Amino acid sequence: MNSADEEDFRSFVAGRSAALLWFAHLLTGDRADAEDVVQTALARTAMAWHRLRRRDNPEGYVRRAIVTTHLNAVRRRSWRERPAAEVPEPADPASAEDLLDQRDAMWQALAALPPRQRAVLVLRYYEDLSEADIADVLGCSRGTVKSQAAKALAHLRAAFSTEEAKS
Amino acid sequence: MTEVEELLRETLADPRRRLDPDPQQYERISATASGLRRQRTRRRAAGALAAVAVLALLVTVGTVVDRQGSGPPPAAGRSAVPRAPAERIAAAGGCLYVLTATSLRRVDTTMRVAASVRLPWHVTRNPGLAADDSSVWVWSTTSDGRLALAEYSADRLTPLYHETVSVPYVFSGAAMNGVLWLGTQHGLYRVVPGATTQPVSGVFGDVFAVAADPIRNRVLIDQRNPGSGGTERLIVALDATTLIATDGAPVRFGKDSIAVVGNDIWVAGYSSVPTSKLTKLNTRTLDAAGSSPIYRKLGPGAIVWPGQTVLWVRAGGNENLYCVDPSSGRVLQKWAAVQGPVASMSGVALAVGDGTGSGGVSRLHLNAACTG
Repeated sequence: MNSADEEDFRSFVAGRSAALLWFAHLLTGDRADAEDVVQTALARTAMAWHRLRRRDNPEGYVRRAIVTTHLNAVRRRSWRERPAAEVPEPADPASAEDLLDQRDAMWQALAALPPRQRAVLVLRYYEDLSEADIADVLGCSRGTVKSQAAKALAHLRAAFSTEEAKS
Repeated sequence: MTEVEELLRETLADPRRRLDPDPQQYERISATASGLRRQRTRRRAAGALAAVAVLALLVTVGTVVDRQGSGPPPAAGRSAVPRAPAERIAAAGGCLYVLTATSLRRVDTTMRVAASVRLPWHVTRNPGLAADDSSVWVWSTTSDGRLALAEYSADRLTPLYHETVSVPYVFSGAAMNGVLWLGTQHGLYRVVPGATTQPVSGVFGDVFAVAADPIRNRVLIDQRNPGSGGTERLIVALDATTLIATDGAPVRFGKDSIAVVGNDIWVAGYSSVPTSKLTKLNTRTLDAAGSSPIYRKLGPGAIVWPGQTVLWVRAGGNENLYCVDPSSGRVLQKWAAVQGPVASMSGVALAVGDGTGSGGVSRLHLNAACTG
C-alpha cells in the first residue's frame, strides 16, 4: 500500500470501525468475537484497498467480508458450538413493560439462534437488505434465505408468544 | 410487521450494543494484514517456479501500486479537517465545537481553532456535548458509573462549572439558557450550576432524545407511551421554566432523535411504518404534520441532527447522510456512509466519522443549496 492509500485506509478505519464493530457485534453476539472478525475483515480489506477505494461503497465489501469471516470461523469451530435446544425464557411479565428488559430478552433469544439464521435476521432487519442481496452475501439461494428467516422468526415468536398473545 | 419483528429491529438498533474500537486497532489490523501478506507470498512462492518468478511478481505489484496511487481521491467528497480523533461535535452561537478525549475546541467558520481548553478528565466513556449561545457543556461517564460534567463559556471556553453527579445512563443532552437537560435510562435530568441535579418529575423510563426549542422556551423529549405496550413513544414538550408538559403526541418509534431547526421540528427513529421513520411535527401540537420523500431510502430507520438552517438525516443501515430542507423535506445534498454526529452553520458542516470516539472530524463540502 502506498502512502496515499495508507492514509486513506487509516481514515476509513477511524471513521467506520465503530459502525463495523456494531454490525459484527450483532452478528456474533460477543464482543471479543466481533473485534476478531472486524480485525480480520479489515486486514483483508487493507490488502485490496488500492482497488476498493475506487468503488462507490467499499464498506459494502467490508461488511460482506465480516459476514463470511464470521460464518467461516463458526464453521471451523463447530465442535465448540452448543446449539440451544430451547430458546430462552421471554421477559418476566412483571418487567415486560420495560422496553430495555424486552430488548435484553430479544438479545438472548438472538444469541440462541444458529449463526446463519442470526446473520439472515441482522442483514434483513438491521441492514435492511432484500432477500436477493442477503442470498448474494451469504452465497445461497433466495429460497434458503426465506426458510432461514422463517425458522429464525418462529424461534423468536415462540420466545415472545406470551407477549404477542397479550397484545 | 409483527411486534416481535419490531422488537427485533429495536434490539438490533439499541445503542447499548455499540462497541468502542480499541485505540490500537489500526496497528493490529496492519500487523494482521502483514501476516496475511506473508502467508499469501509464501503460497505464491511455493507455487511458482523460483525466486525469479517471485521477483517478477513484486515488480508487477509495485508498478500497480504506483500507478493507482496517483488516481483520484475517494468519492466521499470529504476532506479531513482537523485530523484529531473526536468524540462529539456541536454548533451554537455562530461557532462549532469539537470535543476530543482530552480537549474542547471552538472552531470558527473559516475552520480556525478560535479557542481551546484542556479538560480536567479524560472523556472516553459515553461522552456528550451540548452548546447554546452562552455556554458549552461536556459530560462523560466515570469509571465508577457516575457522570462527570463541566460547563464552559461559549466565547473563550473559560471553565464555569465542574461536578460529578449520580445520574443513570445518559442517552442524549441539550443546553438552553444555561441549563443542561439530560435524557437518561430513567427519566429526564435538569442540571443547573450550583443546584442539586434532580430528575424532572413526571418523566419516567428511558428518554432517548432531548432537544432544545429556545424559540418557544421548551424542551422536547421522547418517552415511553405507557398505553402502547412498548410499540409507541411519546414526543412531549416541557416548558423550560415551569417544567410542565405543554403538548405531546405519540409516534411509532423504537429509538428516536429530535431536531429543532428554527420553526421546524423533525423526529426520526427506527420504525416498521415507513413514513414514520422521518416525521415533521406540528410545531404547536407535536402531531405528525408531514414527511420527506427520502423516507423510502432510510433502511430500518434514521437519526436527525439540527443544522443552523438545514436538517441532517442519517439513514440506518447504509448510513447515507442527507442534507434536507427543514421546511419542505426536500433533499438538498447527499453523502455516502457518514455516521455522524453532524453539526453545521453558515455554510460549514462537520461530521464525526463515528459516533463513539475513534474517528476524526471531517468537513463536508456543501453545495449552494445546502447552506448548513
